[in-house]
Amino acid sequence: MKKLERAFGNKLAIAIFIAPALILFTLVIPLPILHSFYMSLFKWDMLSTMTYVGFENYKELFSDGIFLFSIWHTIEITVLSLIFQVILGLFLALCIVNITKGRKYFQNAFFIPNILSSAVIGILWFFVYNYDFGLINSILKSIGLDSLQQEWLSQKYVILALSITTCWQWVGYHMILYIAAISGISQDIIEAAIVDGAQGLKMVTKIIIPQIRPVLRVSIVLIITGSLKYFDMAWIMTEGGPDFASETIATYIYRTAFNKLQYGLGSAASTFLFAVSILITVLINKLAAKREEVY
Amino acid sequence: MFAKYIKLSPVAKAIIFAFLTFYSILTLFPLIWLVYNSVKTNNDFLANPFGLPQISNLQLKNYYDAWVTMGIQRFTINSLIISSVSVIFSLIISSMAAYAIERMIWRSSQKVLNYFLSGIMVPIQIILIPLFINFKKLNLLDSRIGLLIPTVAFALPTLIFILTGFYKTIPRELEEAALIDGCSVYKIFYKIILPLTMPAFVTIAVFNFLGAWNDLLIPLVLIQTPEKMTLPVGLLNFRGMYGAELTKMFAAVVISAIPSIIIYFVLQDKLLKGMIAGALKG
Repeated sequence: MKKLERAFGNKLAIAIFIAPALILFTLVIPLPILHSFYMSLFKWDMLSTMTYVGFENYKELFSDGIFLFSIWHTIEITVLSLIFQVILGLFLALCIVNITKGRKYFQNAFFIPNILSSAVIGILWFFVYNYDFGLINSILKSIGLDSLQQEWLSQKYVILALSITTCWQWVGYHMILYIAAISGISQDIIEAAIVDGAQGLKMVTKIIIPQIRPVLRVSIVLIITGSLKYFDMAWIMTEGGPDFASETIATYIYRTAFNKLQYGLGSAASTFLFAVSILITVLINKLAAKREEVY
Repeated sequence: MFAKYIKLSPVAKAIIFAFLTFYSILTLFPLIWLVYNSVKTNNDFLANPFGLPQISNLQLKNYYDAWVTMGIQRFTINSLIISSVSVIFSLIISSMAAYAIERMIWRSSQKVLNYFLSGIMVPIQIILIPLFINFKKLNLLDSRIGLLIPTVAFALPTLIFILTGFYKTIPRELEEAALIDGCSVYKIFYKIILPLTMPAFVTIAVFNFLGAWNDLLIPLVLIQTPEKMTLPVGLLNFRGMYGAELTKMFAAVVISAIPSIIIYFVLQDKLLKGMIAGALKG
């Protein structure tokens, strides 16, 4: 098939097909990443001239208590999100596959928050948590539990509150993935397990969880990478406050660059976030590869 | 189906059913609360945030005010324009690239694919500062084109990933036959490949549309004047300006949630299938 190879190996055609995507992608993603690293070596507020400061911005970054807090908050959100979304998602999925009536309703009910924009969710939950007229406190009041009323978006609870909202937004998504995976387990395996006397919890831990391991991995990767760039909820509901109690790496970058106009410092924080994302992606892939060798 | 193989007692089933019912109410209640408070007067809401509205005193005017007087209409139109145009461009550009990578014969095609795929993991925060600075220099800040460029670019890696997967399944014979009939590669692409992948396009187009519709960070950084804001940024701006008129705020939030909910209910089976396929392949 010389003709085929000639037609599909046509260099000009290949260039025409690939060029728009390649150029746009390169200009908007890889080049700005390099540019960001370059800028992290300067002090600049866009008004005065740029001054080269070497790795001074990185030193400043890691001696800035707020930045260190933002790393800690990002870790807290990641851990809470993993706990809430994986466990609750799996539990809901296991419940749903065991009933016949109402499956569709339950799936939709749990999934609906996921299609709303974070602006809608953030503003809604800002009101849910409000002290004076929020949903939670007004329910507590109406059932006589006034003493349990809290300032939910206070320093003490804000990370927990944000993680709950994020769980509300995402748990249905992970549940749907788990339901698909559980429904895909081969019937022979389930039957064999029943013959061997696997029941209840044993069935879940010995059969179902090992069988859906690849999906669990995908959902854990998604939760970790999503938490690393956690911005929307923290910015909409508290702007990283009160008193930086919900400052994440992403809100720190935004505030430093676009509110304080410290572009060099912001770029240093961006570069740090990029390095961490790469590190974590590589680490997860390595771990997963090892695991799969074992099994 | 899975349920057949596990024998649960009726009591256990009833407990599961009751739990799911309770939890679904818990999940949906914030939305219900939002909707019924959006038709109260501000004073009614403040006096009793939990109570139902009086039927005789429904404030449908809240919706009119939010939509017309306070500018939600403008934000919705902006969002519609940005989301549709970015979906069209993303699909054209990525389907061309995916075709070249998957169906054309050249040595570095897999390398180029990996180059695109590496973009999936990049958090958008990392490129915002250089983007902002360069767009300022190029006079692209606060413009629709400036907003479209990164929206389209960030959609590319995922789209190329999904589309190369689709193109892989098309048999070579179709293209060979067309070639013998004298078609050029360009013609093969838009006469044979594109029509074959149309059904898949619908699903990814909807995903892509919702992604652009819901995006907050890019327009938050790139758009400054209220006339050009998209819904998410407009809502935040709205809260800043009319923060005291809470029930009107609620109406605005309800309005901006409606399009996504309609899209979901019209296309839910396709959407869920596409989502599962996307995640399980990755």
